[in-house]
Amino acid sequence: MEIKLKDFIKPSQITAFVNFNGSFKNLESNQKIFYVLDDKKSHDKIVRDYFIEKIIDFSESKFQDACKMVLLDYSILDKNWNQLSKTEMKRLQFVEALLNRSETILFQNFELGFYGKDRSYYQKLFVKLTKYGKCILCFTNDITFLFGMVTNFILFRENDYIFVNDFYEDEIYQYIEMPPIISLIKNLNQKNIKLGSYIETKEVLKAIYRSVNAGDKL
Amino acid sequence: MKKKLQLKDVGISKNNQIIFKNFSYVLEHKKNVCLIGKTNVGKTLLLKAIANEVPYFGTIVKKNSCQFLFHILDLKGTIESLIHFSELSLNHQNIILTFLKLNNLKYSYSELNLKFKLKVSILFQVLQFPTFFFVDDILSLFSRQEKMDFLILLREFNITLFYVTSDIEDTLLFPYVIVMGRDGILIEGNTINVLKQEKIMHRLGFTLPFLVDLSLQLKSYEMIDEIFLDEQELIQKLWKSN
Repeated sequence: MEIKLKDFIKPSQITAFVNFNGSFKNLESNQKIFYVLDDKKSHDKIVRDYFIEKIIDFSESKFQDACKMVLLDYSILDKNWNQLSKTEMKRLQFVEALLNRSETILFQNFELGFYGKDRSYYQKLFVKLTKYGKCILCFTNDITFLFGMVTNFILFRENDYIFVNDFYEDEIYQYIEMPPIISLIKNLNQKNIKLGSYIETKEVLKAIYRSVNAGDKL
Repeated sequence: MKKKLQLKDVGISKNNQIIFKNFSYVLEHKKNVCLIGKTNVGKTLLLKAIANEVPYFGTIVKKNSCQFLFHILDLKGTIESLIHFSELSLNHQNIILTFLKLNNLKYSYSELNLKFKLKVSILFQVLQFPTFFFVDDILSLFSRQEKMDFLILLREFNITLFYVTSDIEDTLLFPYVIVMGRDGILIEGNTINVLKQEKIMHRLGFTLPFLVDLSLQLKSYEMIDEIFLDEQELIQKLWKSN
């Protein structure tokens, strides 16, 4: 189905697009949006040459700063694009978006391939970028990556899309996998044990402690 | 003789820089293994070394057939023709249909969505009947149930899986976990025993699977005395025994 991305370009906001099965090639071309794609084809170029060609006022010190921001080793500048791993390629696109001063950055499954510590870092970085007025469009099917950082949440259905208010809406999980934390709380709700709608383990822990100590029973 | 694949002091260097070294492990038949590690520690490169796709140092002894899946394959034709469905035994046909969950095998591969392309890519490799199947972090398109169906498929075909993932929840589907570092294996063992090493895992930057993390914290408050991987069992334990 078609989606007009320009409708979602809002400064300082993170909009999540979940269960999008369309092709990114078919999304409208928009100069204002920088695409950080999960399946970007590599090119046979040295990274340095590519950036000199692409970034008008390219400077190594700015490149170094941007690399630091996205947890990328600066030595990547001398590598060939087709030597890069998938996660390096995504981070390098991210660097390009930052050097381009793109106001809107679209991420496709950015979190894929990153382990716990890095994922948390990027969640915080996305939020930080919105403080500088950036608009983040985040296409993903991993709800846990969106926890704590999303302003708007769009769920794609068979032939349309809807706005979702919170991570506990049942309809989301007709389309994608339910995170274990939400599954546990929903399961308890069905058994009439109401803990509250949490997305952090430590909050669930406290709620369990309160419930068990209050003598709640199945 | 027992079917196995041996890795001894395997390492990879690129542009005179060592990516990882000293990776030694003996992969045994019928013992699925899940490999995790920090971002860019060289997990995919390790698989590529085993596949002989990149230069490596150290020794890799492969006496049994191996197949690899790094990404969804670029295939042409109908599902039926790609997997030579009509030539398979009835038993294999049934196993495949259970895994695919598609009634019509006449669909063209190009018409399928990514999830079904992944399923057909898997079948395409599985039907080469390898002893060992190496898969690189591509199951994120699958639900937990579909991941379990995949493991059942491999069991039915007597194939051992070596799976690389960045999703810590995936480790719970495997009996054995290896945590890879720049200097070989950091921790390995029975999945729960590895994940129980909470402090080390956190120091390495890993978050734990939700139920393991919650169980460990509940345990520290003496509310439970074991780790629960099943939410129903955890609920029964907490709210029935008080």
